[in-house]
Amino acid sequence: MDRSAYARRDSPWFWLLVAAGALLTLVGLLAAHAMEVEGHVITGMSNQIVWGLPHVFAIFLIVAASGVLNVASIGSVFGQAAYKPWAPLSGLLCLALLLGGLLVLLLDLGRPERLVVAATHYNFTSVFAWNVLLYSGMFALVAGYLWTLLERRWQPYAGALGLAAFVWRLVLTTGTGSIFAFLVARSAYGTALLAPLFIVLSLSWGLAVFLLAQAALDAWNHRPLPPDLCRRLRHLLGLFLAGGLLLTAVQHLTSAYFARQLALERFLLQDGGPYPLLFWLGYVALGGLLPLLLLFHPRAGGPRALLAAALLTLAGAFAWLYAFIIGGQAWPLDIFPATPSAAASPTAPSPPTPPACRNCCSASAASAPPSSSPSSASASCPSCPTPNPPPPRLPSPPPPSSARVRRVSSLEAPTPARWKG
Amino acid sequence: MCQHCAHPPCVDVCPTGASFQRADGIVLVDRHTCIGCRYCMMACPYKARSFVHEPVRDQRPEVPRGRGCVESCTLCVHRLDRGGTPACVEACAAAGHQALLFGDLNDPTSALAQRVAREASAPLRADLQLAPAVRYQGL
Repeated sequence: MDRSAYARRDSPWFWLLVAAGALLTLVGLLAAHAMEVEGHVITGMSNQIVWGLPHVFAIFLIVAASGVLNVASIGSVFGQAAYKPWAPLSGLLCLALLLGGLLVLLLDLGRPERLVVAATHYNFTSVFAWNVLLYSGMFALVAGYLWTLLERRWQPYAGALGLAAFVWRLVLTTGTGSIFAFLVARSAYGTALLAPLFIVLSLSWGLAVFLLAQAALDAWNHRPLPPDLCRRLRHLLGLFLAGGLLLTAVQHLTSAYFARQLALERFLLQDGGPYPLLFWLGYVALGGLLPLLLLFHPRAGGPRALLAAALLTLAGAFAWLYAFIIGGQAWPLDIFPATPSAAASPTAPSPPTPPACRNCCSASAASAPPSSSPSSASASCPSCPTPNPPPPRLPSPPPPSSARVRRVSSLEAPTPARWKG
Repeated sequence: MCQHCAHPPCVDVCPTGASFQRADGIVLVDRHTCIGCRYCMMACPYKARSFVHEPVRDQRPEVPRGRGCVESCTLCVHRLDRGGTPACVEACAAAGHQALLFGDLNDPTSALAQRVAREASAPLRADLQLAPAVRYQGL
């Protein structure tokens, strides 16, 4: 390679690029600081939408980190020599993306300063805990793999470490998909299909990131990909995109097959406001079909079409992640499955009568459901300026007859009123 | 409200073990090891957990809270440990509503166990088979 190319590092463009990167990092850190000072509430987080935009970025970076190792894996594991010169770039991008994703996740924690707690307290029934190990293991493994790629004396170990990194990244992406797949509470998730879906998506997102980074380096160092490699990568990106579209379709069709999930699918794909728009226009059309057209149409080939396809793939990735993570949480939890039908019934009982406010004897805000928290007992009345006084303290009843209470429970007494949740 | 499940998904998913279940079945959050990842909020089918957004002042030592941590109904465990009942049950009784009954389901002689044996009651989301400790009538 022409060594004079490196002289470009001294040009003003290099420092401009460094400054832009530093500015972007500074904005990110300021955003994280604002969130720590003002609270997560400024992100729009609620008890319904628990994970928001930071998770969209974090999961993208982590999943793409797995996929960006494609080029190195094809070289080391599948013995394709044409890919080997780009394996170090592939490994370096993997480390950068993984580090970025983990940093976003860390800064989004309610207590990021307790990182040491997360690193020393493991609950092995938690998929999150597995992922802490998977992410740190991936980082160590790829760092070692990169070392073997760059240090000639260690090159005999590159194959073994490359194979280990290849297997590890598949497990890592499975683990990331399983974060959602193991959730029984949220109807939009809770399917084992998410594991293979995340693997396929990682392959296309990571390859798109690699192609963009390589294009930037090409513009910098005049080191383009050989045409044959370009052709192979174009086919690979198309294959991964088609696989992602197929598995996404299977996931939604599987969900829609169950009658109780139909309303959810209608929300995600048709009536859910921005989420169907992002899914159909953002992911399927712009992030899936259009890149496929650019990659495989006989009149649209070439490096520019490949780059455009990579950019569209990334745009589609963010659209899909937003619709999946935030749209999936926006669907309300079905806590009282029988309540809507009962409420719709003509024989449904009348709504509950609020108890009288202790201050003004009118309907009060204390008409909480039977499962209300203790704080609702002293809630303020909307028509009364002074808060309700706390309930009088009664003498505690005698302890239970059993020496040790093994299970405790409360029971709502029969009542003609029902709470419409 | 936390249903204090016998098989609580929040405990399963908590990466640090901050969500835990006492021997008597009460599900709690350890404020000192909760890192605020909110995975328990994602896993709870009852939307029973909340994130503390604001700084907490004038704390009561028996019910510690922490900004950036997740919390939920403790079933007034500090009162139970002193032989008392949850504050909501006490307030409901004081108002004369008698809508809440509290006791030991495993003690067949308790008023609660006898009531459950005598009358129909149902947990929320029984289909998930989490065995919640809270039963409802009239749903």
